Amino acid sequence: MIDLAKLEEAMGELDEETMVEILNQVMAEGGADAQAAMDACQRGMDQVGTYFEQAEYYVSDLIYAGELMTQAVDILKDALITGEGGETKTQMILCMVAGDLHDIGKNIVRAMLEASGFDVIDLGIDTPVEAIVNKVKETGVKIVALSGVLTLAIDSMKATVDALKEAGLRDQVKVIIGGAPVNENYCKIVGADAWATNAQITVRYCKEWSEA
Amino acid sequence: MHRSPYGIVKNGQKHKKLRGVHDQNFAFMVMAPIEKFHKYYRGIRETSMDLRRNKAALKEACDAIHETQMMPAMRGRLQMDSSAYLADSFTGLLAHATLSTKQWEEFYWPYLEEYIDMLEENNMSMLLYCEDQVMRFAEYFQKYKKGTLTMIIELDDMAELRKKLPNVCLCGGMTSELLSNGTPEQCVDRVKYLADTLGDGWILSQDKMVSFPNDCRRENLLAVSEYVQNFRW
Repeated sequence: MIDLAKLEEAMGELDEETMVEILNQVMAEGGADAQAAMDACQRGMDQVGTYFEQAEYYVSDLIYAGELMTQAVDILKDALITGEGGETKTQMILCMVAGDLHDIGKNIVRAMLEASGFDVIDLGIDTPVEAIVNKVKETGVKIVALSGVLTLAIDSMKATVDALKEAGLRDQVKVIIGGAPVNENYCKIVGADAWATNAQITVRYCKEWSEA
Repeated sequence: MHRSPYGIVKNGQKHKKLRGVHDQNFAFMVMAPIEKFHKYYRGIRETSMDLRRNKAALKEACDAIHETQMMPAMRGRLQMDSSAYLADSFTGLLAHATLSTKQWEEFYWPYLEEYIDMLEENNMSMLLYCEDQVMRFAEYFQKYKKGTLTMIIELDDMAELRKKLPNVCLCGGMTSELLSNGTPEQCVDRVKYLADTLGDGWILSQDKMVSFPNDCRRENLLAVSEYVQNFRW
């Protein structure tokens, strides 16, 4: 019998040993509880987010939490693929914009988004504008998250939004920009729908948009 | 050039002889040991893992770096003539931006505090380059006398930080956002606001390193420079 409450708590408290032990037990028992275990891990990640908002956890803890979630998916993946699965995930694009290679923040955001049930298409670092526009065309996603650390990222974010407009795609996507240089004024300059300087806020906006 | 425990660094005195100017505003660098793990040995991601998975080993390594590298270097540096510099020493804060308060108290502050205490006891100063924000750790720096610390500020609200740190010289306040997207008038107004708000114990500087062509408009920089050139209290 899998103790899902204990698993959720282990994730929230970043107790790797307990988390791995329970997930291995899920797989040893045939994997029938894999989706339930994944859901418990996601609830644990919500607790991580709460601890972050309370300043109990900080960035290094979010990085570690992301690592634990990746590990959880790795352990459960065979059972998740063959099992019943959960509800349909909202697909979205996330990337570092052209000229920017600093992806630690992006990776935290990705982990938190995935933990919140998003199917994140991560285009990586230094992403050309055309690659983003083409991926929006190809997938029809409704959310694009653009990340940047350097000040030059603002120009690339603006170029991306302009290119989405030119391609006639702007009205079908919500664009959020994130990272150290962004603020409300830059959000206006770029022409984005929202801005964020941490993963929690990004997840909140994306959830709002996906549920709308 | 000479070799220091932190690698090869330029010697400001020799540069002064060679070029007539200083291109450094500090005489020597110090670094909380965990910064070495962030910047050189492990990187931000791996150090974040180590803080959870290998905490005791990381602490042991920080202690060893502190005792065998930093402290001997500090003791040696205390004897040097650094009167030609803006500050005697320099440290760059980056790792703090990822640490929780608990981690800061265990892995960062004890070391940095010891270095600053030593400097203050010897009437020496430190220039701190504070990436990201330093506000949540402001209280740790409140005990030092004026003239000991100068902080280069990136993302903090300068006025709020001034309230918390009246004892620290703050450097910054001119946003690259304004330099790149504002008008000359807006940029000059920002300087006036900063001077009125921060007054004595403030050095005008941009908030981020102006590294890219679009980070600053020529006319904005000229307007600010002209205003500063003619500025009188």
